[in-house]
Amino acid sequence: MPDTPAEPMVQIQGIKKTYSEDRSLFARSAQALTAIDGVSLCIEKGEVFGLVGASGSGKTTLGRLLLKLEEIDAGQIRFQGKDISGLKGAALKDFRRRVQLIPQDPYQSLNPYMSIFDTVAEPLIIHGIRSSEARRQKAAQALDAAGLSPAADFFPSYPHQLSGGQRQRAAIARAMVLSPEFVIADEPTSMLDATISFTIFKLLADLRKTQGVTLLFITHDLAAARFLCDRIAVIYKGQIVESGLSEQVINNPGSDYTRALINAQPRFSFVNQ
Amino acid sequence: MALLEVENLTIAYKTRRETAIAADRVNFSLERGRSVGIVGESGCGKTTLGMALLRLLPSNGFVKKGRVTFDGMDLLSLPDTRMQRVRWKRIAMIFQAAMNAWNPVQRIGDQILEAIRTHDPKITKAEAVKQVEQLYELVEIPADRIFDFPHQYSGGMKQRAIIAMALACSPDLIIADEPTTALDVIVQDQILQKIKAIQKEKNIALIFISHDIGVVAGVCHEIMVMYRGKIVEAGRREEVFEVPVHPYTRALLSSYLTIDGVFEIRDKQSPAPPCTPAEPLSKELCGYVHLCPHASEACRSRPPQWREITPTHKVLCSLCR
Repeated sequence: MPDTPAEPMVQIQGIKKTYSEDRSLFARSAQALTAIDGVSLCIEKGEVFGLVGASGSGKTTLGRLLLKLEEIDAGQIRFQGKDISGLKGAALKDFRRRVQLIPQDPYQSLNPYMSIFDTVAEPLIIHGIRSSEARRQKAAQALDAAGLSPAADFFPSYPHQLSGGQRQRAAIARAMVLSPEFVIADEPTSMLDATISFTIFKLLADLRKTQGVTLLFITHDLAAARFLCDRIAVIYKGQIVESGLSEQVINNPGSDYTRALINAQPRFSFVNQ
Repeated sequence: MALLEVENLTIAYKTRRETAIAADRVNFSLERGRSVGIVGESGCGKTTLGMALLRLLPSNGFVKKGRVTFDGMDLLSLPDTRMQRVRWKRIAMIFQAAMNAWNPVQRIGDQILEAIRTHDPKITKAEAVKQVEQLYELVEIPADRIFDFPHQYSGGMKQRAIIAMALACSPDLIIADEPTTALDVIVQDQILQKIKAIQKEKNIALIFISHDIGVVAGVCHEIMVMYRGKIVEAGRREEVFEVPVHPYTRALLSSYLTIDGVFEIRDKQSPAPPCTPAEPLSKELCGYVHLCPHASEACRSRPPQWREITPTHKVLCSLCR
């Protein structure tokens, strides 16, 4: 936990997001679905914050709202003190550089027609790093830091030549190549084996330490959240039902839903067999 | 004789460059009403093994040697027509990501009916519907949802319907390949409890394939740990989880995150309990030798041997004395 009482990285206040089902030819009824229902959160600079919930709880939607990939219907999101709702043009592009996403499924998130170098260097082109030498260097650094080294060996590879774990490392390198300040990792290991997941978690913990990045870790796995996060919030049906220090939430769950999540975790006790 | 006996099963894939061994001399047997879990990382050969039992290997895959005996029948030499009668009626499989394999433009109930009527042409439609209703009761989906389309189901319901379909012809053996991998923890827990309860109630034999040791621990009586095509440790689950011996099993367990932190191996000593040689076996060296923290000169020069730690717990490792 950072001890500086500095400005929080992200402050969310009472945000709401409703999806309305358009009445179409095939729809039986037009219903509105409230995905995020009055969420308030604060993510401090330098921490790993876990957002834990089951599928359909709204955790991915919350991530998308924070990335400004979708607009909120009510409330406010402040990034480093500034409201992101009005961002446009250069200010929006600057925001996009500072906030990055590590997507869930590295089998789908990487363009199969792009080499690993092109994939990792693309954000640099978008953000105006003109010199190809500088791009090579930054891409190499990012790949090395993500554990794909020597980076030059991976430059010409295509996603299908890499294993699942290596693909996710490439996706992490792409997210980190612009030295962002805030990274959202949305279930980054749900498509990976337990052993590989573990190495990815360790990599994320490392990146936080060495690059000081603030991390929002979205997961349904409390065990992983406990391993990686300083604080966690449990989200259920679009509302935060509980938040606090990871250990506290897991050892003394205050809500029924958190208890249900804990009880559903696989266990190695064979007493009742 | 056990319901299923697998002896020395070796499965290979032909590629342009080489013949790659995917499963190497696998031995195990399974009694009715028992369950065995095959754990390993992706690429270790666990799915290949499951597919081979049903003779569903892709066209470049083949069984190089070994025997599979199911209820007295030699499955590998059975004529195709007879094998068809074994599939689904006697041995059903829950395929990986099967819940995404429902035909999106056909009602789920019709798809299950099709399976039932294909394997039992004499059954009337009304009887078959009745059977689906019973299956839905078993997997706890309301009967009025039987004729919904797949998109109207949640992920957990789709998976439960897959289980219903696997049970449709009352098989003696179910092979479940990563049946809960895409589901979240709460739904996963429900599905696992369901599988366990049905397996017990119907006295079905179960082969449960997963990369997730926690999941396997919850469901199976016996565990086989697979690494690079070989079973490296096998035993009753209490034995494998409480006294893991093979360094790979130990590595696998200690990378498993539990709610209380990282999985703690109870017996903290080096993995070398006294044991007796079981059978001399392979010609090649241990596949884990390059990563093994305990690898000795002997490991680099001599092939590992199967050793018995207890009559039910075996390990393929030279470390044991």
